[in-house]
Amino acid sequence: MLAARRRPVSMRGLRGYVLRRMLLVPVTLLVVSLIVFALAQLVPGDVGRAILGPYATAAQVHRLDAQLGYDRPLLVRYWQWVTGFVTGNWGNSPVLQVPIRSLIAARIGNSLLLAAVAFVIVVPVSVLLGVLSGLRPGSQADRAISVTGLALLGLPEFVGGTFLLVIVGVLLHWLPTTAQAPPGSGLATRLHYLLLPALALVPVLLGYLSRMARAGTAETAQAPFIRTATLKGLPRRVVLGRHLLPSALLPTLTVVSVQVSYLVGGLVVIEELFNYPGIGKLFLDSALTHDIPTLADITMLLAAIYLIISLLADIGYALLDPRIRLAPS
Amino acid sequence: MSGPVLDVADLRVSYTSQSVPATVLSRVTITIGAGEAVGLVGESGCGKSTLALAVMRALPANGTIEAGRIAVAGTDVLALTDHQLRAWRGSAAAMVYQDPTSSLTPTLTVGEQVAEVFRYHEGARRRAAAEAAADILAQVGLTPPRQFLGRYPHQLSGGQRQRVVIAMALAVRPRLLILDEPTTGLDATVQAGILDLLESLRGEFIDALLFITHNLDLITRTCDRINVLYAGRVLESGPVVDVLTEPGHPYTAALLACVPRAQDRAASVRLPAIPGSPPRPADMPPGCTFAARCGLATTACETAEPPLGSYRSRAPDARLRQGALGLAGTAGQGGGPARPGTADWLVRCIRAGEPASASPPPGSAPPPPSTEVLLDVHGLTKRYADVIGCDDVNLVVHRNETLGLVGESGSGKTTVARAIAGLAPADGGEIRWHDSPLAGRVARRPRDVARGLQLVPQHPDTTLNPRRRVGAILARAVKRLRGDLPVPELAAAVRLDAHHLASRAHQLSGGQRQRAAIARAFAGRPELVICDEPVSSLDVSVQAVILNLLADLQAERGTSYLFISHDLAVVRYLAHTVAVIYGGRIVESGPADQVFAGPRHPYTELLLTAAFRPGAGGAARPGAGGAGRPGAGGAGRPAAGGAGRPAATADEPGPATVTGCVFAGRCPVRVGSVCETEPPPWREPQPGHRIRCHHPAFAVAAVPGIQPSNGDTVLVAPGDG
Repeated sequence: MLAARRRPVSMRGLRGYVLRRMLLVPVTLLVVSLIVFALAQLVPGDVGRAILGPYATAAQVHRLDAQLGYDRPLLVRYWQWVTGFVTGNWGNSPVLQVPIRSLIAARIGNSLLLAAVAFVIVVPVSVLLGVLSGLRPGSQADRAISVTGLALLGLPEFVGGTFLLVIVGVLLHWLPTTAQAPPGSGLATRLHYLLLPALALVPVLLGYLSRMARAGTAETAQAPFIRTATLKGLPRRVVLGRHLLPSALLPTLTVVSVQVSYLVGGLVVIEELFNYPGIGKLFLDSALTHDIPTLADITMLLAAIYLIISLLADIGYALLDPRIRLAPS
Repeated sequence: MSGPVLDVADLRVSYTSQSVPATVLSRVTITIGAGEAVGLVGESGCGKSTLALAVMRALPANGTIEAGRIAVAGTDVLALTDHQLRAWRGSAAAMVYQDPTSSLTPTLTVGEQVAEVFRYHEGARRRAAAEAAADILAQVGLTPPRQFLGRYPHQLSGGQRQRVVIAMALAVRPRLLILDEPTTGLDATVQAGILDLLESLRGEFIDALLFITHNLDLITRTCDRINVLYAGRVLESGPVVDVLTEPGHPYTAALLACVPRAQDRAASVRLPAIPGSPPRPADMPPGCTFAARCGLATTACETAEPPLGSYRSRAPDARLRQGALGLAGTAGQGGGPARPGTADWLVRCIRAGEPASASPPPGSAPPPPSTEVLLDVHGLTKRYADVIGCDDVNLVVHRNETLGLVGESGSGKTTVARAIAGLAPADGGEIRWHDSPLAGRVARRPRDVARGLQLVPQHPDTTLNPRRRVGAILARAVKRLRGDLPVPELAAAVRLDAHHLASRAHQLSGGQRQRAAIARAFAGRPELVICDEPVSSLDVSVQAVILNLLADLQAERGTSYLFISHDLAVVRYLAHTVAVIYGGRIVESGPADQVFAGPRHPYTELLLTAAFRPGAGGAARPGAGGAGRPGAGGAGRPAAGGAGRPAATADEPGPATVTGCVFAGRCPVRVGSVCETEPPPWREPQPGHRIRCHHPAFAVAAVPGIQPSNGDTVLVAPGDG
């Protein structure tokens, strides 16, 4: 009954907030598209030459460029690219001669699965460790967790990944050394294959997230309202779960969403290392073969994913923090 | 019902800092009987809060209870296991402490937080707990409670939050309630509402009460007995009326003397500040802990610590008075006559009750304010979104004059100060400085204006870089403001020595930091200093030092002040002229003596009633009858103090846009609909004393009954008998 009465107020505030926040997504994407398009123009060499190779004549190159539309004015090409991207008409990869959309579609799922596995491992572990050390700052456990987190933070994922690959995969044979399960495998097998690359992504994220969780917990534990809750005679689990953690973990939530963008960079390295057909590997391959249209579309897609995830994180933040949810607009 | 509710005996507590233990409470014995309210006073850092936390067994990790006994209603608190302690806290003893802004969980609704107490102490189901929460919220004056259950703390005012905290503390009716500075930082009117609430809850909801504060006046209003704590020791303990009228210990007497009395003016009387500061726990003197600051101290005081001995007042009528007033205070609670300890009056002093040698020193006698206009603010207006910051504010400050700007939080005081200081320019109006217009932003003002017009903020810790040495901060100010005083002389003017100059700002005490902030403002020989609540967060002893300092600087340098405060006793002491602001508009202005003597605007009346009822420095208790208001002389009680007590409504300042009188919604003597529809006219009951009110009593200056000869206002509400 109480909740039902409260809802109209909060939902109205929240709806306005979410709407305002959602409007920002297309605006930001438009800016990203401008930057991506501008950068694509800066890449040396033209597309026709890249496809036809060094032995083609200038006329042949010119004809191909015209055929592909690369001789039209910049604004027209930008408009075609953006409208094409929005309508799902992404064109062909000039290098691989296949539709970019099917190219990306085949791999984006793989990457999201890998990222999800990494997050499912890293978020609970790092939050748990961070909260544990934040509750007893200065204790031996806290120092051990902090030092380990710092050390992991400084370890590039290609180093950590290689170590894991060699020790766990090659020497101990605990986990398969390739990331891709044999065709036709079920989800369980696929997850089994993904465990090692996901673990390789864990260290750096663990360092960041556990430090954020620790800082938030240690600071909130000092807040007067925690003392109020304690002196009310509430059980410790209630003080922690209801009073401390919602405030303490708000900053961590923001950091988690920011880490998504980091993860993209991490995926490029890990997917290459474990030879996994994901978006990161496609990104790297496209860059190496000067496949600019594919590169641009991947960038746009990743930007969209990143924006949507931070939108979700902000909505989550607002749900947890009534001061934002119920702020007068 | 036998035995005390709180029984603290020979308690010793120490804090360990860098593995060196220091005793912060020593041989503290305090008992509170059933139905009794006991006050605990003393300066900051004397161990008041430590005692409260020790009773709740909630000392910080480096605090240890080394010896002694704490029992609440017969339960040995120190013997409770962690599990028992959890059940005991909140149900047997509860605590409300300072700073309601951060003592509620921001992510949970008020209803959920109050209901929790019922759920975990009484095993109530969600629904029943919510119902019980609604009931208790109504009891603390948050009505209708349904409206408050679903709100979050940030949607409540400070006074409302403190009521929620009190509701949580009282929810399952603990035997002992500890209040640690429950009204510090709240406006006088809001504070009066909280005190009234506590008074109304006594008996039915509150059994034994421990009231911790540095404000002696609050103790007078709420408590039966008082304990004076100094450097971790009880120096005096006894019935409130006796102790505060005929203090036995020189420290109690000194604390009392720090509060400006009704007749004190900065020009004629210096406040007898207590020299020095309390000893630090790490280096306690062997003898009496107060000897170093005591006017009566002899060599015997410095060698051996005196025992807490039984004391009887030298004044023969003291017993009598206690009988009369003390009874009046306890009659309402139906408490039995046999309350333990009530008759005890203990003092830890070998010269107890001897009169302090020196009479209050004369004031610094500054020259009277000149007629030369220094600052002329005309029609100052500022809006924030849909809220009025200030509206058509007119102020004039003459050379050598102190203008007191008075109002509750949210009334627009700070908006005005920031606009004049050039920190947040106004939207409209004009500020003239030496009769020429002044730019809105401080950056656009000529350098000599920036020099001549300085600001002392409320919280100096937020404006003094904590990492820099005070000497460096002052040196920079002198250079920037092209001052002609060397830093040591500037520091000496505010009584800071070389040791302070070498310290970093965060190492200084609150009072020292405030003096550093004042020194910085005075670095370039300012003509006008805006003081924004400069003493509101300080102990009375430190407050006296700062007020003396401001008076001295005015006498020596002819500085003018715009003194912003919600503390009327302080304003009355320091200010020559007073302006009262409400809802962003000035509602009354005039010479201080006339404003305080009356006739007064109903809002000013409300402020005064909240601040001085039943008696600042007086001895009357609530319920002791109408007598005892300073200056009241028992004349007709102002209507503002009668029916329209400043209660929960005082928590929310005036509405954003008003066509009529901004105060109409809260006014106890509202004339009629004209108050809402027509802007009130300026009336001038005495030359220079202006009141903005529709009330016909102000229409003519000399109507009999408006200005009684004793100077108190009689504002008769229409239809008031």
